[in-house]
Amino acid sequence: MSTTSPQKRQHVKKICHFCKSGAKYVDYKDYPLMKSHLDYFGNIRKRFHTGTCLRHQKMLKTAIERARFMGMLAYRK
Amino acid sequence: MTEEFMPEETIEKDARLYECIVLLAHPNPEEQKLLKEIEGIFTEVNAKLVEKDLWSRRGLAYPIHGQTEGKYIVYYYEMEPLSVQTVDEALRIAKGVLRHMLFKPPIGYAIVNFEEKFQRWIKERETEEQVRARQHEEELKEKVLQRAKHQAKQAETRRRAPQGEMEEKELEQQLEKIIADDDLHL
Repeated sequence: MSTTSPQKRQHVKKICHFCKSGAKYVDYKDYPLMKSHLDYFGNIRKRFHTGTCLRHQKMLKTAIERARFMGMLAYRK
Repeated sequence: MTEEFMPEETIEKDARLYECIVLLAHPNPEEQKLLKEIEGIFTEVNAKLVEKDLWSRRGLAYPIHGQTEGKYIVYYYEMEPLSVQTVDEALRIAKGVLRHMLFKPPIGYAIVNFEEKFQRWIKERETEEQVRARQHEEELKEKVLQRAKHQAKQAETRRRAPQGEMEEKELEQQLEKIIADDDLHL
């Protein structure tokens, strides 16, 4: 019985953008930064796609929620 | 232990940095009056102003109380934690304030002027039309390059083609000469 071996995908570890810049706090007033972590519909991009670490993703979440409340960002497009 | 029995020194020690962001409707004729009113709320509780950041007019992501444009003001005050609630309630009641938020930034927070940063970003970023124009130009450049390559290839093949024909003709002539030679006995 001969089975074709599936093509192996090379796993590339993504680097956290915030860790790289040495960010200690994600500010909700930094509009351009937060916009890059949102998709077309205004949802927060997953860690899986952006490579953000858990610590910074949690900070980002609170920042985006604050910005949404203040009317800087949309809840849903 | 209530506030009344606390010595003054301990109250001063407790004072820490608080950040307050207020959203006002933009076309507001009584803006200056409203700003004074808001600042008055803080002065009532003996808060010390550290920094004030006035943002320019900005469009809102969704309409709030029928307003599509607003103005943000960020205050950094040093005040006692006990007076936070009174300020919060006063801001909630204040007329003309669309939204407000009061919280403590992390320890060692460096105050950044985000208005300048935002304005710089607006100037630097590309609009959708600019992106489209850039992509169109890149596509055209690629097409021109491909055409040039194709033409160069064709020119080379044309150059080589007559040489090949000449060689064939010469070979044929030589062969004929050899065949026509009577001295050769093959």
